[in-house]
Amino acid sequence: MKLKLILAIGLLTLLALPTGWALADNGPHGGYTATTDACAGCHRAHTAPAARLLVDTMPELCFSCHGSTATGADTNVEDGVYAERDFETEAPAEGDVNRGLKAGGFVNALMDTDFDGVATSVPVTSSHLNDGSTGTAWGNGSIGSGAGAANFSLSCASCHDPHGGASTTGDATYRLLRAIPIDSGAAIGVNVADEANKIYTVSDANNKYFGEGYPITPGNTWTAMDQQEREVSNWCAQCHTRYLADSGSGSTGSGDDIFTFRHMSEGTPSTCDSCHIDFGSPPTLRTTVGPEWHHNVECMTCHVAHGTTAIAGGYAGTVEWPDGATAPNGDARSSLLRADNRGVCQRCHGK
Amino acid sequence: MPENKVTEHDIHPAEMEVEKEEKEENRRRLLLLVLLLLLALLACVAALFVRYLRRPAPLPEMVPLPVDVNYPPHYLFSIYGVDKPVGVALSPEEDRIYVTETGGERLVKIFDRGGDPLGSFAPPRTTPGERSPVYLATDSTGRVFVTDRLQHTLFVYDPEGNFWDAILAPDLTLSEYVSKHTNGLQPGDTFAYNQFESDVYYQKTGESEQTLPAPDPGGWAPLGVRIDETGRMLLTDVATEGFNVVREFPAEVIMAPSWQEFNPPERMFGSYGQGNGEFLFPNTAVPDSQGRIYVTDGNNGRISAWDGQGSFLFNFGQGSGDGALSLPRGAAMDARDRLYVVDAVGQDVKVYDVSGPEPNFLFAFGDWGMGDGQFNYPNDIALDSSGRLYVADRENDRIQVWSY
Ligand code: HEC
Ligand code: HEC
Ligand code: HEC
Ligand code: HEC
Ligand code: HEC
Ligand code: HEC
Repeated sequence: MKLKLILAIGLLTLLALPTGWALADNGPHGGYTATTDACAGCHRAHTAPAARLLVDTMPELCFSCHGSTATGADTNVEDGVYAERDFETEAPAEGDVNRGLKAGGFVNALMDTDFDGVATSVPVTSSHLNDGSTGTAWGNGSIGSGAGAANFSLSCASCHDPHGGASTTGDATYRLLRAIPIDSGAAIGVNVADEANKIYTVSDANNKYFGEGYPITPGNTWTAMDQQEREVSNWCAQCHTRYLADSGSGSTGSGDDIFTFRHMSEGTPSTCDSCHIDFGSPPTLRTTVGPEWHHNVECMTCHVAHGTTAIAGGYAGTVEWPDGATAPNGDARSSLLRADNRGVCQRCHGK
Repeated sequence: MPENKVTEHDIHPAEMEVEKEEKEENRRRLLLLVLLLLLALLACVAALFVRYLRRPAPLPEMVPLPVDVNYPPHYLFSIYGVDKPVGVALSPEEDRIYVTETGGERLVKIFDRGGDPLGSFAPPRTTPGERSPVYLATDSTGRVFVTDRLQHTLFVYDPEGNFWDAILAPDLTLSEYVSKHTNGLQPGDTFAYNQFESDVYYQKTGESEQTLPAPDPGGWAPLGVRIDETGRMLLTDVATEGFNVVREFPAEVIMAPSWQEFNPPERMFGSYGQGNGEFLFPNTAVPDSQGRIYVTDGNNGRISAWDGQGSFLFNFGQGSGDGALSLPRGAAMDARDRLYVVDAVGQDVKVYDVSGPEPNFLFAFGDWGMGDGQFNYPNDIALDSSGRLYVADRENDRIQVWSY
């Protein structure tokens, strides 16, 4: 009854909107017009309003279009590749099909995680859950509240709002990201600004994921500090509350397992001297500086959002989880990282 | 005067004995005959029973489709052992079922009519993460055509699943490409293609394997494939922005024994968009007996009808109410011009009579669920001439067999 009411109101509101109401949200997500029955692709098109509600489970619904067959979308999130050329960035005659998706993949991914200039499509070693099954939302909650929220159920719709217009004010957000992820417990909400041109793929032709800029500037630099990338960090941190850390807060003596030992994950470094000896052109750098030091340090600098094929051998594969658990370990401890082992650290710090 | 009546008493007792014996003999013979007949019958029944046991299909459904049934079919049985199947097709003799899997190893699997596995195949030189077989069709010689969404290619196999050739672009086949770059191909030479490696492999008889740079793969994005009785192929192409078309390959080209001069006359219709004559992810295109073509216009949630000259006629199935579609995918046409459309989100198969000037919704069958006769994101359908229907029931990991 309640659902019926909600649906009726939802439908009425949408029908009442002028036909020109178009959001930047892509595909069947948002941008609904009164002339097309845009709800039908996900809700059953029967006579009775109640029957129109989807019985449907996720991610099966989403995979009907975004799955490996890509029968209704070009973003194949199972294999982590884009089925088309990115027409927004590349002339139809250039660029290749099957470039890696920025988010990686849930089943397979095409990522150069060892920086040898070659990527092969192989099964992922770690990924966010997406089928409503449960895990611990690491770092969820305030300081001192333990390892995180256990039995956290995660599905596509926890993070994405398939209806678009997902900001706190009903505007389009980047990748339909919900201002407040479901069950995150966040109160205020983080609006990640949408991008003007949809570019779903990594910019590197060999599918190197480290150094990917957000939203579009490849090799984002400190000077071109990107607001959106900062917003994504704040967005992730609605679930992983205590992973967010400003510059210089690397070891805060708070007694909290997660908060105490974490890398700066939000913004620019406190001091340029960490890397620079001088600012000539080219600048003189410290010998400890790695090959790709000139990047923001945000969640998305080190992690992908869906899943990675990175491997985790030796030490990297045996790091304890925040609750002290030692499994899963080995490659399954790759923690959505953009590079094998601690390759992400070496890119900035060298050896 | 008493009539000279011949009575029983007049017959000699010995004669009577003989007659009696004869009668007895006849009776025995009859009994034997009856017994033999009974035995034969029993044997027949036993044989039939064994046959029946070995073949799960009930016998009555072998009769040809009745001429004017307009009632929904009923569920027969399911074929398991397939991982997220999305495409289904039959061999020309209808004794083999070909199924594309999108989970696990992502193979094309072959089953017999009873659902027993006969084999499986995949594009040579590809790993599961590098292939995505979607829709498939067979031609009258039994060759199997499989579209691959990751390889951007239409792979062609012989009926046993041995790789035969690949259509890499609307005007380019793999055999043609290799032949052109290597002074011709001879029978026995082998070749393969993997878009991810950007390499073409070939091996001439008696020589070692060589590679060629792969041709550019971006020219098209083949998705749905259907081949009619004349051998004509209808292919949907979902390459974005400016494409989204149905391509038609004439029978002569498809049926030709060699494809080393592949340059079929270009014929296509449709474009990208939501208006009349436009498509958003057209999934399959099927012809009716009058030369019209019906396209499942996936993300527009409708069927788009075209005439034989490639002119747009009308749309139907959009909106709400009986026969309204959610996410139309695979489709098939029966001999009476009834169009079967698999509705992936509607979780059923909707059937329209398209024989008249206006399409007419007849009935739908199936509902959402995991039980017999229920679907969980079905995606494709194939019909045979005996009234059987095969539905790829993706998230239930099975092919459902229905019958009239
Ligand atoms: C891309 C798929 C998709 C489309 C298109 C879509 N929906 Fe939904 N809808 C969902 C999913 C998934 C859920 C359940 C998860 C959620 O709450 O967002 C849902 C839930 C709902 C609900 C339940 C309340 C709620 O927000 O949880 C209503 C009402 C609704 N949708 C209305 C609509 C209307 C009206 C349209 C068309 C204008 C529409 N939807 C189009 C996927 C879709
Ligand atoms: C809706 C809440 C939610 C949001 C938002 C969220 N996560 Fe998670 N995350 C979880 C949960 C729950 C788990 C544990 C279960 C799992 O592995 O999916 C997890 C696990 C992880 C893990 C460990 C994965 C592993 O190997 O098991 C990493 C790394 C991670 N998240 C990073 C991120 C980043 C980066 C973002 C922002 C792009 C993000 N998360 C956004 C809920 C969330
Ligand atoms: C933990 C949160 C989370 C979950 C769960 C999640 N996503 Fe995402 N998704 C994201 C984020 C963040 C991005 C943006 C990634 C980027 O730009 O690097 C994204 C990007 C995407 C994109 C755009 C492709 C790209 O790489 O830019 C699609 C499509 C998508 N998600 C679909 C899905 C589907 C379908 C599911 C479920 C099977 C799902 N997502 C589950 C957070 C999530
Ligand atoms: C009817 C097909 C269909 C279904 C079902 C569907 N999507 Fe999409 N989605 C699309 C298309 C088309 C696009 C445009 C980009 C592309 O071609 O991949 C898109 C784009 C997206 C994007 C990127 C939006 C952006 O900012 O550009 C996300 C995220 C996404 N979908 C998530 C989902 C999730 C989560 C579900 C399940 C609840 C879902 N989709 C179901 C067709 C679909
Ligand atoms: C400088 C690189 C880097 C940045 C920036 C970063 N992480 Fe991580 N993260 C890692 C590494 C490496 C691991 C693997 C486990 C470890 O070493 O602690 C990890 C592990 C995780 C885990 C899995 C649980 C755990 O602690 O092992 C979560 C959740 C996570 N990160 C979330 C985040 C979020 C949310 C952000 C942004 C607010 C973020 N990370 C920023 C490198 C980074
Ligand atoms: C994108 C470049 C980048 C990456 C990747 C990176 N670092 Fe850093 N790291 C920095 C910068 C810049 C600082 C200076 C931080 C500040 O000013 O607070 C720093 C500081 C540090 C410090 C000093 C303590 C602190 O937090 O101030 C340690 C230890 C460190 N990094 C370890 C790591 C490890 C371990 C990894 C891999 C998980 C890593 N770094 C990945 C750029 C990076």
